[in-house]
Amino acid sequence: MKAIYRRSIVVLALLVIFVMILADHLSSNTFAFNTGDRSVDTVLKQREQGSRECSPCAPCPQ
Amino acid sequence: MNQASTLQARESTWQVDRFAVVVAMVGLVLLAALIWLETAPFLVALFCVGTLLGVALYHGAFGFTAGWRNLVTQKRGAGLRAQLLLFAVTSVIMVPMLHSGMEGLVGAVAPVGVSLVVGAFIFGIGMQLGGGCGSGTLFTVGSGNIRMVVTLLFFIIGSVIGTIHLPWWLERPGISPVSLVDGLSLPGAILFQLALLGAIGLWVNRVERRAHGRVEWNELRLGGAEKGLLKTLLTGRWPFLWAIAALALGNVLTLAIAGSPWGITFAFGLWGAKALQGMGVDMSQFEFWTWDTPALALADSVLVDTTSVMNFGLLLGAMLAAGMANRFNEASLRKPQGRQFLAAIVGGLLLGYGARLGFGCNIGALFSGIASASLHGWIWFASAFLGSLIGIRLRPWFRLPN
Repeated sequence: MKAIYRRSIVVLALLVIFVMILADHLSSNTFAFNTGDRSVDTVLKQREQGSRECSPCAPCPQ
Repeated sequence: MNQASTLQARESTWQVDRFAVVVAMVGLVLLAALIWLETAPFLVALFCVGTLLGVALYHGAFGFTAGWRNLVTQKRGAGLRAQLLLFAVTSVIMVPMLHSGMEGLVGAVAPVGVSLVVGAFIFGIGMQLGGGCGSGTLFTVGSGNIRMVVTLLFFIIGSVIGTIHLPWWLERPGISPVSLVDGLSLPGAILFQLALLGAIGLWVNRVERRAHGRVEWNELRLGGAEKGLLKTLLTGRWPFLWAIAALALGNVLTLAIAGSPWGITFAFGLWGAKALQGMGVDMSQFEFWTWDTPALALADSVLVDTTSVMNFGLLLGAMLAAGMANRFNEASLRKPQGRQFLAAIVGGLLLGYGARLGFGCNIGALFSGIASASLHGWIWFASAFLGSLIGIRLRPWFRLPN
């Protein structure tokens, strides 16, 4: 069947999303931690401490 | 070749949209590798669960929105009964898990009050105008539906506005989270929920029987043999029971791996807040983004946010499934007109705002809420259904078929 969409637009859209994810990651605490800055607080570090009491959909007001 | 003969040809031969499948696979491998290299293995596992859920939602055509609308407009209850069955199966597994004493597990239990009722009601209207709920919006976007991309964009905008207003709403009358297990004991809570789901199921049957004389038990059909098991598994459409099994498994695995049940919409608010922050807006001026979890999520990578990671998997899983079914972008064949676009914008905003006030969408609040034996899940259900009735009445004005 002939494609009903333009392949270039699909690839471009996914590339834009991938670049945005990458840009967000490169400026994040986790990336800073991975590159040697052990002082930053990260989601994974907090998870290891196991202090979570609320689900993501209902974050605790604190 | 006209549309009818194209569809006929599609049924007789196994055609795959190789481009969509390859692009989805490349995306899955690339993101999985990035998550593996930069974060933790459990997030790769959640990414895979998200992918499974995307495939199941697409191949099972498991839409909460259409299921509710079919009951109201066509008086057919298969979709809603399938949802009730899904809630029953999942709560029988997840409620004991949450109360087994396993460390690190937390249920989707949220406060009950004005914020919840208003949020779920607004969400219900938005479902019918936007054309999907939380999961429905994501899997249809993944399958290349352009109108739903508009809904998703405004879903995100509505979510951010919701995060800004949520602290004000939480000051309105309400009570702390209520777990049914606390009041009814573990077996009592499970039995109470099963009885309630059964009672709703009987009401749905009554509506269908009164309109059509008999009940069509489509949700219990195990078929698929007409196309062959493997072909049905890879290209759809899955019987409801397959989708129910996959979605229940997905939520149970999410709880076991992430420590909390499946949720979708926290990520939307987060993505929107990150975009605003990228444009120079100081999000810490808004109370919600100073709370521990949201503040840390905002400062950290989306690749360590469980809802974001699962959403990425869901989007690519739906794209993969649509490609396997040779139906990627098919829903965009019928170009939406002006008012239909307006419905996507209004619906998206209501969905986002409602989800934040209501502590989640049909997944995080309804599905996971009931699977956690939380009272808020039931109140969300009733409020969103009422809102949905309004949304269904508004659909014709927006040139949306009922």
